[in-house]
Amino acid sequence: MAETAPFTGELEDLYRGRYRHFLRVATAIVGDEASGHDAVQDGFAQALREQQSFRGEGPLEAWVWRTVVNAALASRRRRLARREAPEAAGIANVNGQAGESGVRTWVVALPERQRLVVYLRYYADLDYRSIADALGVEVGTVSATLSSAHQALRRSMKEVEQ
Amino acid sequence: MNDVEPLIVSELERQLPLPDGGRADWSDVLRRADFVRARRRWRPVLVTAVVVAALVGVGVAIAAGIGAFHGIKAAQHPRTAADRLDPSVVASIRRSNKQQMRLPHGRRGLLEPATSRLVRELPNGVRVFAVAGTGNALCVVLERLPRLGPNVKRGGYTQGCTSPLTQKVPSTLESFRAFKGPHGESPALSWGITLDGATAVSFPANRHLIITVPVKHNVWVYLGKWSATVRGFTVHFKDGHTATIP
Repeated sequence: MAETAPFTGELEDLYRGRYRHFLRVATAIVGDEASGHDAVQDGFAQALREQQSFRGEGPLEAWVWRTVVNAALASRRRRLARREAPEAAGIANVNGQAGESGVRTWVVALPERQRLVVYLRYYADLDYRSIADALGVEVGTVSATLSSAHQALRRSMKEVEQ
Repeated sequence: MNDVEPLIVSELERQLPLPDGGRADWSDVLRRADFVRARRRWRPVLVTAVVVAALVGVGVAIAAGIGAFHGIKAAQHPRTAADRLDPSVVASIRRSNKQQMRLPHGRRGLLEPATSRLVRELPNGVRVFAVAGTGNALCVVLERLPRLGPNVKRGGYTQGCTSPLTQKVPSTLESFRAFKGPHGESPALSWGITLDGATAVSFPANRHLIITVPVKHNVWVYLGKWSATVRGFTVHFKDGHTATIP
């Protein structure tokens, strides 16, 4: 019945307080900072337009992370379709660096969901609950995904050592 | 942290350091969300609203409020100091007004704090106000809210706007639940303002349970496990007739 913009102030506060973290994650997903910035702007714009649909079933920030991550993934898919981005950009191509560390190889080799969990955990510093809300999965899935990612890194490091 | 996390953190930091915030531009977000263009479209309304605000001193704003408050006796009285919203709420509303409130039927406009009327104060200190919005929108503001969940501070406020009440739609309906997850949930807060003569509202909680909430001074408020929804929402009047929201 009612139409409101109840979270505009909170969204602005969140944007001003956490822009750099949103930009970092979006950049890691998309592959360059300009496109990452675009994804953050589009994600927040969508959150503003659709704030009525936020029902408080989790933190507002986690809900916004979902819109920003989705905007970044959509941007990346568009770039892939135009063949502007490599298959698994991840953070490997963010700065055009060609480092060969085990971690870099590990991140690039991770499946998309595991990469997203890693970015949200270590770049955005989100707890498991917020990551779960942001990705629309259960907390247990986040825990299991991170655990699998850690195992993969351990294997990757052993291979490098050998 | 486990054995690999320090390595991950330092290496990810090296790969992509926290960028500076130089690109941050909230006004660009507003443009992309169509908020700013909407403000331009509403410039005549803005001018009208400014004129209305300027005429508050001679009582014209009261007349403007009566349209929005039609049929709500608890809101139809000369404005006194008791009708003023908390200054922090007024400041927040004015900040939101700069970005244009979203009003019924997809319109955007202003919520005018100077028209506020206190319609009911609950025993727990929550104060319920009727406030007029652009185009005679009826807005309901609840302030001094209790802590409703982990992400809602005590003392906060909430607002919602709808079209003026009619016999067909004789109550506003808002509902908010701060948190809901697999391991628990916060209680839901539901509330509304009704037309004169309403004695209660009711809504189905599930197939077997109907929640009935009394109306007092044109206001009903329910805090509990169940959340009021439009489907099956019914307003009961003292003459015995009911109106179920279409």
